[in-house]
Amino acid sequence: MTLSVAEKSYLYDSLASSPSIRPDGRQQHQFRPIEIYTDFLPSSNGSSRIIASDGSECIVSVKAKVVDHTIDDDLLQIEVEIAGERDDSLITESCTSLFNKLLRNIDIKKLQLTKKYSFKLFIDVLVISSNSNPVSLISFGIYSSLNCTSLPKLVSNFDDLEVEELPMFHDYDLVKLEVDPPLVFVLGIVKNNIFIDPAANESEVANNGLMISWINGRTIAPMRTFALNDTNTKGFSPKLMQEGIKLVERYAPDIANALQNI
Amino acid sequence: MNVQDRRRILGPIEAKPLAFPETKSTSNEETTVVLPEFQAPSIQTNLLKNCNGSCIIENENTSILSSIYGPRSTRSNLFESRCLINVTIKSAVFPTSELKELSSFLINVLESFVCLELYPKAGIDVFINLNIEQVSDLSWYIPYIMMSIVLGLVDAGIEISDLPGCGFNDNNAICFTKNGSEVIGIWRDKGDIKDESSFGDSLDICKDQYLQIKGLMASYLLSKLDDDKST
Amino acid sequence: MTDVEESTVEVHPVSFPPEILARISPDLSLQRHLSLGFRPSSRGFEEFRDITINTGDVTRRIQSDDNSVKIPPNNGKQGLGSCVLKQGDVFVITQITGGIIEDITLSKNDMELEDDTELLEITKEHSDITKYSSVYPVVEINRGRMGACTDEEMTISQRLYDSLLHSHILTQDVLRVEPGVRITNEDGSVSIIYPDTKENKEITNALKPKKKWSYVLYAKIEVFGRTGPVYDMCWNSLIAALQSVKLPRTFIDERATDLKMTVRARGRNAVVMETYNLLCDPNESTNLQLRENSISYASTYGIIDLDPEADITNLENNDDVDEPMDEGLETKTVLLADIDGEAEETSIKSTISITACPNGRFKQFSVVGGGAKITKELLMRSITLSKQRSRDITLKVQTV
Repeated sequence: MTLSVAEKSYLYDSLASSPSIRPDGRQQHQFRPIEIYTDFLPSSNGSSRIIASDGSECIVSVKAKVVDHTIDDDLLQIEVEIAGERDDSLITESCTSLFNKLLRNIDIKKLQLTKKYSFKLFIDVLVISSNSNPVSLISFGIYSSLNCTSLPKLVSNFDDLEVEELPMFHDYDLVKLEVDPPLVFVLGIVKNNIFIDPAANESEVANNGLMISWINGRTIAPMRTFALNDTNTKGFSPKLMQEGIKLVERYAPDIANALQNI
Repeated sequence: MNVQDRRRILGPIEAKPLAFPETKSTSNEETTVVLPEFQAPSIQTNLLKNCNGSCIIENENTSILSSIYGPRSTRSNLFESRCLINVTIKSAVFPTSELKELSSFLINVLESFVCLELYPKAGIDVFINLNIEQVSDLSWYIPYIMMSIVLGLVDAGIEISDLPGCGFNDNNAICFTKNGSEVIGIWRDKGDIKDESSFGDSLDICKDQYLQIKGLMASYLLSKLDDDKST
Repeated sequence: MTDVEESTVEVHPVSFPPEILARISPDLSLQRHLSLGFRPSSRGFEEFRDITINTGDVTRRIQSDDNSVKIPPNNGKQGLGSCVLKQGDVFVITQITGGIIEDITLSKNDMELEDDTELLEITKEHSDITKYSSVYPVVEINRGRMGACTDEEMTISQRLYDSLLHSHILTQDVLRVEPGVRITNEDGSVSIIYPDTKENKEITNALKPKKKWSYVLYAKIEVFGRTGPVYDMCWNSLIAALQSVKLPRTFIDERATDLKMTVRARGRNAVVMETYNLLCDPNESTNLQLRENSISYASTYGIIDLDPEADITNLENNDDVDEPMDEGLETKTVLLADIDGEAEETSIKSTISITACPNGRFKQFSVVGGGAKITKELLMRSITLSKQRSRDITLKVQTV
């Protein structure tokens, strides 16, 4: 989105004022409306499609494979693809690396099938279009797709260290995957104000961006700052970080709740 | 992926890398490993002749070399009213995607203190070479990397608005400017944030470290200035 | 414009400060310098740049007794040896890493032949290059660009590979892996037995699989601050780094040597597993045995005809430049050691490159004609200098 100098200045001033006035009248902690469809890909174990109100759209698919976890202990693998960006572009690689770090917070014991074998989850993310930073959208997509993931039911013995057999699964029954997926919140900083989910026009004037991850009541790593635009980037008061953490801790449970109820 | 780069002599494809047995205690060690405290490194600038500025930061097990090229003309045909910054980090130890993530973080940090408006239609390329012997977390290196970039920029004569720096504590690498009154970047890779006050404590420690680093950089630059005058 | 009547325009000779002349006409600048008896870098004709060499500096500490040193699990990219070489303003960092390859050329049938290696050596020494090995070099010259490798990088890499192979410095034998066996004792403790003593040899022979392995060595050579041709530095740094290489000893777990186990493992997994996993011992390593008398160092020389017209002393004597030059003026040809700098690199077309051992044996000798008059004396001189230089570098490497 390209704004004129006058528009930017107006927007900046209103966001920087106290209390800040957001262009769409949202509150500091308020998200834009999102639409989520889950389980729409028949060939994957879990999937979701998420559409933000500004037309940003992202598809996530979860597929599973049985691996020997004594050999391969990397049980969650994520691949991010952003339409219009090369695979080795800075943004795509950073997103992939970021989410791989984020998913280390998932308890992989939940994926364990037997003493020797585990499910390995392959999470493929495709960002079809994005008008503002896609990180938050992707994390919601991953959250809802992991929430609706069901995996085949194990019928063979759990203890297979001594017995030589491969895990056997039920022909039809599936078990819902019970994991706590993490969420990522993007916060925009304008002067001394901080607010959740900056829209494209807000990103354009923001002084900085803060990314905070959250899992089941805990604020976790990775936490990062990143510029939301390349012209307005500036430093900010250290207090805003604490304020951001507080904001996330307060409202994240509601969001997780909302996503769970889909 | 199974296409080999024929321009380079990479050796037989079947060869496997040397594998060292996993030490049994790795998992315990990982949690208790204490990252070494900040050590004042040795600094040297202006050592490479084919770039505009360079700086090497060395301590016992690490040497970080930054080379700054620019401001120089960019290949893009568009008129850019500000300078474009690019950061490339090379290291054999960390995976490329992680290095790219760090580069994009550093670009954002640089954008907040380099006077980009002064160099329209130009680009500044920053190359970082990490030669690491004893491996810590990537975030542990950020203070040193920042230091080498800042001094490299000074060496290249590129105008910056302040001498920013970065401190590291409790997995937080926090970059400050303006004597610690402003944060320009935070990078945290692992560990939960228990509560705000512990985070605040770690913030203060990082700030102290930043002031220490700033002092080091300033005294280095001043002594260099004196040397230049006397010669 | 006021003086329209004046029809003749006086032409003033334009003069440039030395730095600018060096940029616009490196050729002339070089000739002018040489006519004064020194080179643009203010070195003498046969003066080399100072060289400092540090080996084993950036290496992972394989044999450290300090327990606090955590062995990094860095994806098998561990350095086995390294070298930081500084020549003039140029830095070259070489890191040697390793890998293991199953030796297919040496099948089990060669077992009998192996005992006759001595015989083999005598009969085939002169022709058999296959007995020697090389490292796989990747040269990177940092010049602030990204993307594909340049021609220069590719040429130097290839040249290093070929030269090293033909210098006979590395034999295949020293790269052969002699794996030990990791044994779990009755009390549960784990020990590794290497075929060092006769007794151990019997044990390992009994357990050892019939496969053969070799080490492969890779060299990553990074050049910083390139100011001129860099082949010499890459070669010297590579040779110095090779001398610091410590190969970790490898072992196989006793269970993996058991053929039955692997078959069972395969049946259990329904995947073909790595049958013999060679693991490296983090605590034990051996020095890479190079053939001492093949250690050689490279140096390059440039040959250039002095242009009498560029001679400043001549210029001052001959005020009238238009007058034909003295026919009697003889063109003198000089030898410049260790070419460096833009002017020398672009203007000097005739070069001699010599790789010599300190004892005077030569490993490589190449001359590029390039139009200059290369006399026998100049060749002799370059050979003498290369020997001296080689001796000099040997001392520097040894004192490290």
